[in-house]
Amino acid sequence: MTAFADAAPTAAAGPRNKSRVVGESRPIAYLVGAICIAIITIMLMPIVLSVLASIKPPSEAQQSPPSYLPSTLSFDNYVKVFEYQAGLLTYVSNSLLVAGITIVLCLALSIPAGYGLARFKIWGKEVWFILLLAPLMIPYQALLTPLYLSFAKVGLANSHLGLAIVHTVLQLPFSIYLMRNSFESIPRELEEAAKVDGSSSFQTLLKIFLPLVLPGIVTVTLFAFIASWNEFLTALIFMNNEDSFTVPILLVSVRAGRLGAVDWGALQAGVVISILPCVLIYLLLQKYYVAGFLNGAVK
Amino acid sequence: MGLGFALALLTAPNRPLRQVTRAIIFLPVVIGLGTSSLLWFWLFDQQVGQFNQIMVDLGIFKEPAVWFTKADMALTAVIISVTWKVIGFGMLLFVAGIQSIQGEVSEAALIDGANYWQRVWHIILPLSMRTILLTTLISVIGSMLAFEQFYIMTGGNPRGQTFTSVYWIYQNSFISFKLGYGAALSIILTLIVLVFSSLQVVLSNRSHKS
Repeated sequence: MTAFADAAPTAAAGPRNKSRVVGESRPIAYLVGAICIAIITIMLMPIVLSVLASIKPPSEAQQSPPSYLPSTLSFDNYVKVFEYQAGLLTYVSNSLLVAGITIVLCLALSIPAGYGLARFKIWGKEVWFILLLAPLMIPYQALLTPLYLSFAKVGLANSHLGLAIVHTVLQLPFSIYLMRNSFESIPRELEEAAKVDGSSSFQTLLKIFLPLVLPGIVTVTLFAFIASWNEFLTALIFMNNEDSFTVPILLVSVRAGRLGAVDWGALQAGVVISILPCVLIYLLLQKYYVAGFLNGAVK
Repeated sequence: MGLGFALALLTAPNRPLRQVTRAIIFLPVVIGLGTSSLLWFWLFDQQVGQFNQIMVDLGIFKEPAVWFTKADMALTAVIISVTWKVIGFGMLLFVAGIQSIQGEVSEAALIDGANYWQRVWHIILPLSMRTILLTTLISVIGSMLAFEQFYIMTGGNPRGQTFTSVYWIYQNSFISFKLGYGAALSIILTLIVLVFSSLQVVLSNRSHKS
C-alpha cells in the first residue's frame, strides 16, 4: 500500500519527517489516528456489508430487519447468480471480450501515436495532439443517440465489437496522452545510439522503446480494462440481446428479478463479483493506477 | 469538495496509517458507478437496507426512513452514494497539490512561528486554489452528465422529479423512441458541457505554465 508515496511528488519526505508530522504533538497524532480508523471503517462498510450479505443463506438476505452477520455460511446466492439466465460465465466472458478488444485497440493505436507525437517532426504536431485530445471535452453521454443510429446502420449495434469501439474511443485520448509522455521521458541518446548501430525507427520502437515504456503500457491497459468493465450507459443502450449483456447490465437485470421481487442476496453476490476484479487490480497495481490517474486527471 | 480537501489535509503526510487511509478512501473510485449504485440502492432499501438499520441502532434515526418515494430524500440518498464513490478522486488531486507545496515554504512558515491552522489557511489553501477550482469543474461536469445513479437508484421517480439531462435524453431516445428529439437534446447538452470543459482546459493549461 505504500506505493501511494511513489506516485505523488514527495517533497515532505525529508529527513525531518521521522516519526511524526512536523509541528504535531503526541495527543494530536493519536486523534488523527483515531479519525483515520473511523474513516476507513465508514468507507469500507458498504463493501463489507455487501460481501457479508452475499454469503448469507438466500432467505436470510431477504429478512427485515436484516442481520449484520450471516448466521451460517452459504454460497447459494453465488450459485443463483452463476445460473442466472444464460449463466454468469457468459456475461463475464462478454465483459472480458469487450475489455480485451478495447485494450488491444487502445494499445495498437496509442503506442504508435505516442511514439510519433513524441519523437518525429510532424507538420502541425501540436495541433494534431490537441485534436486527438479534443474528444475529452465532448461528453460521450450526449452523443450516444446519434452514435447508436449510425452504428445500427452499419450493423455494429448489439455487437461486442461495436461496444468495444465506443470504449476504445472513450479511452483513447487519455491513452495517447500517457503514451506520448512515456516516450518523451526516454533519453534521446538511446535512440541516437540505436540509429548509429543501423536500426530502423520501427526496430528501435520494438526493441528499445517498448521495454522502456512498459509502465505506460501497463497503465493504459489497466485503465482500459477498468473503464470497459465498469462502463454502463453504452452497454445498456447498445446491448439489447440478453445473451450479450455485460456484467453491469446483468446486475440490473438480476435486480429486476423474474417475478418483480428483488433477490437481494443474489444481487449482492453479483455486486461482489463485479467489484472484485477492479479492487484486485487496484490493490496489486496501485502504483501504476495512481500515477496514471494523476497524469490524466490534471491533463 | 470541502470534505475532499479536509481528507487530503488529513492524509497528505506520508505516514503508513495515513497512506492506508488514502488508499481505502480511493478504493470506491475504481468500482463501477453502476455497481456502486446497486450496492447503495440495497443499503438504502426500506426493508432490508442496512443503512437504515445502522442509523436506527446508533440512535440517529427513530425508525427506518423511506428513501425513494420523496424527491429530496431520493436526492440525498444519491448524493451520499456518489460522495462515497468520488470523494477519493478529489482527495487524491488535493494530496498531490498539497505535497507539491510543502517543504521549503511550509518550513519557512514554521520557522516564522505559524501554527498548523495558520499554515493551512495562509499557505496551503491559497496555493491549492487552482486544484480546488479544477476539481470543482470536474465535479460540475460529472454531475451534469450523471446517469447511472439515477437510472438505478430512483428510476427518475417520484413523478420524473429526479431525471437528469442524460437520463432525459436516454428516456426520450430509447424508451419513447423520439430519436430526433433525443438527438436535439444531445446537441444542447454538448454545447453546455463544452463551455465548462473549455474553462477546465484553460485552467489546467495555466497551472501547467506556473
